[in-house]
Amino acid sequence: MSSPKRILRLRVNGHLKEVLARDASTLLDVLRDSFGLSGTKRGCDLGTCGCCAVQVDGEPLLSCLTLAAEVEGKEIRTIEGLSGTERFAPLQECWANAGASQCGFCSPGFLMTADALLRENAQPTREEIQEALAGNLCRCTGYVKIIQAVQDCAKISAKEGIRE
Amino acid sequence: MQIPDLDLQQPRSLKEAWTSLEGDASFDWMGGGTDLLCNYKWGINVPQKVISLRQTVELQGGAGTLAAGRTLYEIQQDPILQKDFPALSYAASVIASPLIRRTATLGGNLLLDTRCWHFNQTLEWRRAHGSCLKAEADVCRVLPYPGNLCVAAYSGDMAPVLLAYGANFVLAGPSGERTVPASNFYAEDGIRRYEDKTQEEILLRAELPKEAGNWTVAYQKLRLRKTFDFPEGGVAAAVLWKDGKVVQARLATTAYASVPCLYPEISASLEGGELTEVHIEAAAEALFLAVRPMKNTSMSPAYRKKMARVLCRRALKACTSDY
Repeated sequence: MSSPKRILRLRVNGHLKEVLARDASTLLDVLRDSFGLSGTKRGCDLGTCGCCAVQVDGEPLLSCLTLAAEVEGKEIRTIEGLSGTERFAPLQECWANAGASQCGFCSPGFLMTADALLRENAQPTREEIQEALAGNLCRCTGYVKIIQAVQDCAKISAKEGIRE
Repeated sequence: MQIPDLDLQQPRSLKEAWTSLEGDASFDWMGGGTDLLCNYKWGINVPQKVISLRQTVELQGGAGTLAAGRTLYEIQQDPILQKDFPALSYAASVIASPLIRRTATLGGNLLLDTRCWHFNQTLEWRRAHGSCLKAEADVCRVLPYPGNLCVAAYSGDMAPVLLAYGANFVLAGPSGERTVPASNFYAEDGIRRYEDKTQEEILLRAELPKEAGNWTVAYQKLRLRKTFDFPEGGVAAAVLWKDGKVVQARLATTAYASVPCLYPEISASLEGGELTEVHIEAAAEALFLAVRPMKNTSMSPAYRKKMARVLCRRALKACTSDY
């Protein structure tokens, strides 16, 4: 069978770019191979680790289980676009300060999911954080410091009134 | 892992969906694709064409509806469903993980392909171990004799709860719409899966009877982890109360067979009186005897069978809190 391909116009981290992709290409394939955005990680590639989580129109989604053609016209945000500057975003600062990252492979997925949570719910409870992050796996930290980092960021935003 | 080549169609209407079927290419309808795309990555039954129904307007619906295109996250968060049909919101909330629920749809969960230890594996695994009836081979690895019936487990969480509510499914095909009771929809064959749904037909929505809101329904799920996992067993109990007595009851299970099942005889034994500990234990024992899990998921059939008793007890006890 031939390999159907199409030109996709994808907006990633605010930049619109045309890429040639197979119909069967996932968003993860395109982000890593066509955009060169390797911050989004390929973990299990089956939706059970959350390492590939990105935001599509503000919602956290698994890029390994999303066909690239299905997110044309939507706003895609990856870990590279989290801060938008050379500096860390406040959530990343909290991550570093809390020691929420050890090998770091899962961190992009966690950060994109946690950022989406804080955008929807600026002051989540510990249970709400646990629930929101239940689709991301970390084999190093034991989750305690990850939850701490999200709580720290929520505290800072409450104090300063802003998050970015 | 790359998904093998396929042709993706994204119809915006049912008419466009059926137009995209022209030709004799093999095809799958796709809701969210969170299960289907995993199978494709493993080279399982990859069709030539995939028709995504994400943008098909007839499958979309607002708050309070059970439109097939609504995501499980929407069902979980829907304030109307939470208030009127809490068991549905709860069942949605315990499916897979929060990230998967953002994409997976109600329709996709209701039409979830049956699962089996010998089927949901990589091509290399299947080649090394020997494939099965549902994939490339011609014999079932779970029940090799006679070996011609697929016993893969139905693993959707929404179907048992909808069965407990007495739901109907609305299907649309090129020749029109029809309504089928959910109880007559599934066929006990892990490959055929449906009694008479044709491949061209699309599930539009589930509908609940008018009096469904009067029922008390509870769902209990057995799984390895509190997130990610498909059910190893699931029991939904539904009770219609009047003056502290059970007028009508329904019990439904998932993951114990290749279909979600109803147990009218056990349910009937609960009707007409109070729901005491004795009644609950008798029903739980009867369900324990009735379910016949196969050796085709992560947990042992013996444990899953024992847990049917526990899940049934818990679900019925949860229903007693309402009278």
